[in-house]
Amino acid sequence: MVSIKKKYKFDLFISGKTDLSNFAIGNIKRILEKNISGQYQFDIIDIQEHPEIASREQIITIPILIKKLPLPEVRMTGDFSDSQKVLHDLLIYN
Amino acid sequence: MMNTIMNGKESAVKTQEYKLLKCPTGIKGFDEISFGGLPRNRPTLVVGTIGSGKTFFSMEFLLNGVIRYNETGVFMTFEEKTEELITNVSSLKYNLPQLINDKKIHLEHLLINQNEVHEAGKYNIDGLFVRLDLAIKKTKAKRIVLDSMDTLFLNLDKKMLTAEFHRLFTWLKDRNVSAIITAELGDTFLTRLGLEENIADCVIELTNRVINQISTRRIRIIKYRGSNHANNEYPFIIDANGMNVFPIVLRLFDQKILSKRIFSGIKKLDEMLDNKGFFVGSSILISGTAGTGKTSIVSSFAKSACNENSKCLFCLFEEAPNQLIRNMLSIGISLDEFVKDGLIEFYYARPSLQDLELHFMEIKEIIEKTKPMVILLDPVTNLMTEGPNSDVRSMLTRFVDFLKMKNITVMFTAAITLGSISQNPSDEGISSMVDTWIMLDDLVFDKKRTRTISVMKSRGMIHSKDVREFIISTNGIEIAKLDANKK
Repeated sequence: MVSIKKKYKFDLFISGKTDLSNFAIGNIKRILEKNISGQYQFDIIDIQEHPEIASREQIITIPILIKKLPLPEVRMTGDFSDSQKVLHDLLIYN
Repeated sequence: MMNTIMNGKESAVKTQEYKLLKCPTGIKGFDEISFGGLPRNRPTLVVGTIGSGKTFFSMEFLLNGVIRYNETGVFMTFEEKTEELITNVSSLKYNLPQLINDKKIHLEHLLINQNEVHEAGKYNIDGLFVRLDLAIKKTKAKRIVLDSMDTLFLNLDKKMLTAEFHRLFTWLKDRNVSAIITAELGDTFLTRLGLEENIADCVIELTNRVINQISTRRIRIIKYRGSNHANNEYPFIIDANGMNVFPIVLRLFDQKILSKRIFSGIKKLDEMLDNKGFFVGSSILISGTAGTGKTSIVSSFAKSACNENSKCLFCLFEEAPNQLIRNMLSIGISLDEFVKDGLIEFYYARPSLQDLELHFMEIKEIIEKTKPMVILLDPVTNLMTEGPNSDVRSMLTRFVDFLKMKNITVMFTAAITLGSISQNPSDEGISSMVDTWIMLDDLVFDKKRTRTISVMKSRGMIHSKDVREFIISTNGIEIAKLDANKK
């Protein structure tokens, strides 16, 4: 895919391929696709594989989603099962 | 039935082995009250209010691990920025930045500002585990500190945390690291999370109490599964040499009992003491009201010891050294020459209780350096007038026990009279820690004051039971039979 500058950029940090990780990934993907399809870049970082990133990004709770763009940066932790709360707290307006 | 017996045996063996597994903290006094240190390869919970010394205790555990026991460490802090922490421990002799540089200690700040983190559904604290794991691997750490958990507690969901703390304790055990986890005082943290009862094998409490405007730091081992430990609260101080816990002598049985004697410097007094004077390494209390001549007895003793070439440490809490030398000269006791010869060393301080433990510390340091054979404390009463008596008594007891272990003879003065003891029975505690108690008194008859002297007690010898007249003149001290009609 040609890299086009997207309006939204999200990093999701998980720890291993656990049920919780999969549940969170599924939920967040669904929410983003439903509301801002085509406008976002979404990366998943497994801190088991990249532990040094956990320190750099000051990760403690897992899973955690960081909205890098647009600013301000927003952090949200949980399984993202409540889509209304996710949209509201992440300041996503569709 | 058979099964039960087997299990019983097995667990007995396990306990036995477990007892041996200790991780020394290197903190002066603490390894004594814990019989060897913290549980090795297990987590310990250190609780205490703000400013009670949790961080300092943990940091010293880690630093001593590196310097003295060749064990690297990880310090995870939620509380302070790492730079602040380095500044705070820079008062210690160790060079923390250097140790970090050498990868002997890994210091990491866990920033948690949950106000800025939104929550939506289930989560855990795997981030902490991953970071801890990496830090342990990087430094091959054997000692871990997590300081302090309250920050998490304040920010995150309590139910989740309870489960996660259980997981953390188990995880730490699996990693074979000796860990300290700190938390603020008990009620909120321990009970609500049910930590104390269930998972912590060892719980230590630090307090910093202010009584009568005097602040005292205390340490207590609340529980220590599988190990003996001392149960009392012990005072401790934090100074340039680190933390110092004062155990109420646990090794007194090590003490050598000497039968050697030392003269009091007053011939007639020696006569009252079995003709031989005091025992070397014993403790001697001179009590009496003001102006009964306590200091003159102490000075005579010092002079006599110096004549025998025994070094004296003269600790003054009332008169300044020069004043004492002048006053004693007026009754024919010249100390000046011994001061010049270095046989008498002075320690002079105005008494204030908040410093009492510090005074004793400083005196101990002088003792280690100059190795005196006789210590004189004049007076200790001043130290006892303030604050709760029991505190002073236990400090004094520990100090006297310390001297005993070193076979140093100690003489101290106090304004205690028989009357005051019957009014205030707690003073008896003071007499029970001394081996020889000499009482001075002031009797009035024929409109004239007469000083008297008697030996209240003297362990291990047949002493005189007489009350005798005690005369101080320009020629020195005399003891005479009390005029019969004066009685």
